[in-house]
Amino acid sequence: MTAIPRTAARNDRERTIRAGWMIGLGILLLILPRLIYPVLALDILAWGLFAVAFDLLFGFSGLLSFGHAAFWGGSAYVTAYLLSNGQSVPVAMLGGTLSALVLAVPIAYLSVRSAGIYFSMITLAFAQMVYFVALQWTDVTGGENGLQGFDRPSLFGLDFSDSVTRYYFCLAVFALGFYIAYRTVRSPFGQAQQAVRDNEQRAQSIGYNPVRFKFTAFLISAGLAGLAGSMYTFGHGVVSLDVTKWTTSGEVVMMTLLGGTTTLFGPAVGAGLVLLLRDQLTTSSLPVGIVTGLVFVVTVLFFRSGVVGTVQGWLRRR
Amino acid sequence: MTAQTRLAPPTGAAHNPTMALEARNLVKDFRGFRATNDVTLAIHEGEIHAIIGPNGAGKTTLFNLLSGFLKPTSGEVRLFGERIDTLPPHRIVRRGLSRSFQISSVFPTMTVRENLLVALQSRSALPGQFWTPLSRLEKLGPQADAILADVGLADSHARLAADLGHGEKRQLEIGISLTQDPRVLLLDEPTSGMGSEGVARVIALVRQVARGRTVVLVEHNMSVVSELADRITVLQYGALLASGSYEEVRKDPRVIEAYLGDEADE
Repeated sequence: MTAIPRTAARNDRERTIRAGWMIGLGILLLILPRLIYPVLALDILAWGLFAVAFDLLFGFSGLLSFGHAAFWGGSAYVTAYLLSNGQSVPVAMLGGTLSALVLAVPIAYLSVRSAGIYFSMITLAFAQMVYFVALQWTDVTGGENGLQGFDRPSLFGLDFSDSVTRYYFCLAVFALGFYIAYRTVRSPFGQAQQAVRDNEQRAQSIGYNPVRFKFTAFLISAGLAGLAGSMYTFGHGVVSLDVTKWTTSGEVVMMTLLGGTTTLFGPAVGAGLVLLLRDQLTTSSLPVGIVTGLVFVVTVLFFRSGVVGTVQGWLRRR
Repeated sequence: MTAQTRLAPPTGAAHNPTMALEARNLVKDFRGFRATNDVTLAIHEGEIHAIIGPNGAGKTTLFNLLSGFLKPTSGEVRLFGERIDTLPPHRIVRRGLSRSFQISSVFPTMTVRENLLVALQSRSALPGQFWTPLSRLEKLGPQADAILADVGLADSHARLAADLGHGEKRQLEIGISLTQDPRVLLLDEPTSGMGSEGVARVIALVRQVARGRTVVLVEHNMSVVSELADRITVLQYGALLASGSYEEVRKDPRVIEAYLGDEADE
């Protein structure tokens, strides 16, 4: 046996590596609007939280949702709708998040009893329904035009017409969302959730009801995706039909795999990389889709555990 | 009089309190194939009961029926007199029946100790709490360490379950089942794929965990069966062929023909 013993010293090392990442990324996020233009930084926060939320279900429950655009987009629309009806920013964002949670209840209920491709298909089907509602219910959603021109009223003297102010407000929201994800994964619930993922039969035989843990994980994931969607609306000041499109569901899968699944913040790193790469490419003459696609292919083929997972592997072996 | 008729529960009688686990006229059909055919079986409280039979005799199907992983087509299963065949597996565990699996079934991404902690916490209110820090699980630490010592894995507590050797996984598997403090323990081929040294260790382990418990095991290794089992049930083609002590079953002409043939000729 060439088993590598995971000793207490190793656990300490893990903790050091994790702390190093957190501090490094924290500092990076604090100075990000100085490095790139603030609206792009806002996008990274929103998509980053979206990917972290997605991975709560994908990485930690083993369920590949292909319909997370429903929660991200649904919340983005509700947030925009509330803002255009004169609600304050916190109310609008909370409303968007709650709407994603409510939407997730029936979808989770009907999908978590299935596994593998069936689960993915059911979630995709529901997301497509949300997309068509957004397309056709033009009075509320604006149809193909989407919603724009809504106010983002100041809050406690914070002027949200300034994108840097919006960024730091969203950074606080991001930190809250990330903290919820972190606590969830590193809790007794998270352990049971991962036990169900690792070995469903075994989990059942020690008294766990798999459906219950998948259902709860789905709701937490969808709620955080909703929070991310409301951040996206708030950051941009417009909502377009794209937020509910199936390509959005696909994009978050790509970001998560690129960053590294089950590394918790890896998906956020993946989201940042995809958005930065895309931003660089749009000003060059290279075809955006082909290059991001190639990067994705190379990652999946040669760095299975994603950017963060691969780097962590190197750090552990050193 | 055969062993089977002697041990069958009296018809029409109320539940017999000394029976830990009973199957009554249990039938399981898979698309026209009868995997379990009218099995009536009584496991006494406190005994070690081995279920044997040739490959495809329906041993694992019977195990799955007893532990709720399969629902019977007809018939019933009773645990200490109460029907459990309508319950899902995670509820049956709560009633005091825990099982292991034929193929080592552990949580590979967790350490050995975490495997036991996650199993121990299922009986607490903790799993519902996604806001509780993981450190709270440490209150179950002493229990986990005690089980680790029992199954001989104390030195391997910090290793990933995926990195364990085959025999160690089997030990961990039994440890996980023990976390539920079961009154009835079902072990599916605990010695499969083990060398003689590992087999001896498992025999000692089963004997130890059987104290104060009822143990049912599926086993291919006849020396393990003869050494451990108080009574034996023989299955063939999904049906019960014989039930009784090792010596009784060994002398049963149908059993000799079906299964023990070669050994009896020696």
